[in-house]
Amino acid sequence: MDSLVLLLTESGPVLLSGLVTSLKLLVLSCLFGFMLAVPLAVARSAQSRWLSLPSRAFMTVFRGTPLLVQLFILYYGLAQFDWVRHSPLWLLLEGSFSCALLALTLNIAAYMAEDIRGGIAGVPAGEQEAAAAFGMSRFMITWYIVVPRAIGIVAPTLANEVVLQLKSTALASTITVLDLTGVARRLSIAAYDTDALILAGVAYVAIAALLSSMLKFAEGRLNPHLLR
Amino acid sequence: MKKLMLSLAIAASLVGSSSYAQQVIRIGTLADYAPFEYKDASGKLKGMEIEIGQKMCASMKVTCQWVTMDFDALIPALKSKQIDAAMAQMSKTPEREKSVDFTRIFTTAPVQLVTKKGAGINQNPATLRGKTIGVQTASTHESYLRMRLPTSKSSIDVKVYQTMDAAWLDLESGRIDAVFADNTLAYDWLSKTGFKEGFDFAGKPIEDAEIFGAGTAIAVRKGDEKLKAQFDQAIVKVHSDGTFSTVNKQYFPFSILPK
Repeated sequence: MDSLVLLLTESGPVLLSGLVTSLKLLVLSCLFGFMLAVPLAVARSAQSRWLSLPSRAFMTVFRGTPLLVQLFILYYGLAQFDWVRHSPLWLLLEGSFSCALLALTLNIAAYMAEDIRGGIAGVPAGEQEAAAAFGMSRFMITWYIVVPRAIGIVAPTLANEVVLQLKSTALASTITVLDLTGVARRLSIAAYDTDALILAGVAYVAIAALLSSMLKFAEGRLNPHLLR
Repeated sequence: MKKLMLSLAIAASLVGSSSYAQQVIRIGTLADYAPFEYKDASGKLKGMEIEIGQKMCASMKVTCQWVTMDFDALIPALKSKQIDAAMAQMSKTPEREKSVDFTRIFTTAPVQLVTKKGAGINQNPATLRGKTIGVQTASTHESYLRMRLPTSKSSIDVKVYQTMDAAWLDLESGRIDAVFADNTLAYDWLSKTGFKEGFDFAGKPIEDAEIFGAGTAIAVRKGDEKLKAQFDQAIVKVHSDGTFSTVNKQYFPFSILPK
């Protein structure tokens, strides 16, 4: 216990900066991922094959491969090609943080899109018919009725993805990002013990608990009729 | 009754035979530290240290089990008795000697920067200002940069890699300006890929005995005098009877035999 206190006083600032990096990865990837997931899910649910097939392919690839593999391909794999290094894409791939953020974003977008697609399929047909009876266009029905309802329906699942994503951010440390795991690992290596890793574990549990209750609150705002 | 006697006799012979079995030593090593220790495509453990290590085990008349793990797991694994010795190009440093005991020096490897030819970087700190240097995590090279050339003074950005393979890949892609590693390891990469792509050793080897130690040795658990003595004897033998030099020549054009 004393050693943990000592660790906190000595390495508190570095651990804190690692924690901030982890949270940045989490918040930004979930935000961008969600923004990407909604159009993906709508395209996936579209009648047109030209819209649904590319979206389906994207989801199959990113849900079908381990995140670690995606990270390594984006970071080390693409960097081997000269044309990639001389393209604007390199601005995103050169830094390890931006590269990790890209992989995490694409990955969670695929999972969230699949969730939202399920939600879209679950919107009662009667609601869409009622909207059509009011003279709403197909565009309006999709974006004002179906999508908001679908997101409400799958809100608990989306919240779960966010908590899962918190732990996925730890993989960023494999491509030299000094997130909470990366910092804790370095500290434990230097000290030849696992104190820093235990501390990081405690921090993850605390964030996950905090996150769950915050998301629960947001769910309540989204689905007030389901509150008991 | 006869049956009972027979089974007792078998049991006795089993007990007897096990007490005559050879001593088993579990040696922790790495799976990705070519050419010293690495797994080939078929998963077989190979490399210079493995080759000499097996000869040493034979001369010690013990059975050696090789256990591969990450470099940073070696000392904790030694402490928690998952392995009995670590043979993984570990530099004998005062810092590590607080946690483990070392045998006599087994190899010596100079340390040097590797960069793109004409990058204008060498061991002189002035040429390193604003550059990014890649090192392996928990290595003596990392300690050197952090202690002798801290970022606040030298404005060197240190990037830490879990494996050397990753550091070389980032050097190739230009994410980092130099890699700081043992010459032996750098030579392996340079001869396979680096020379062809215009990379080479930069400047002169960096000398700092306090941080880099006198060389690498085999680590054993603190207080394990018996195993330390066994290894010391085996090291003297392979160093003096030419075994070491013969294997050395197959891997490097320079000698890493301690002077």
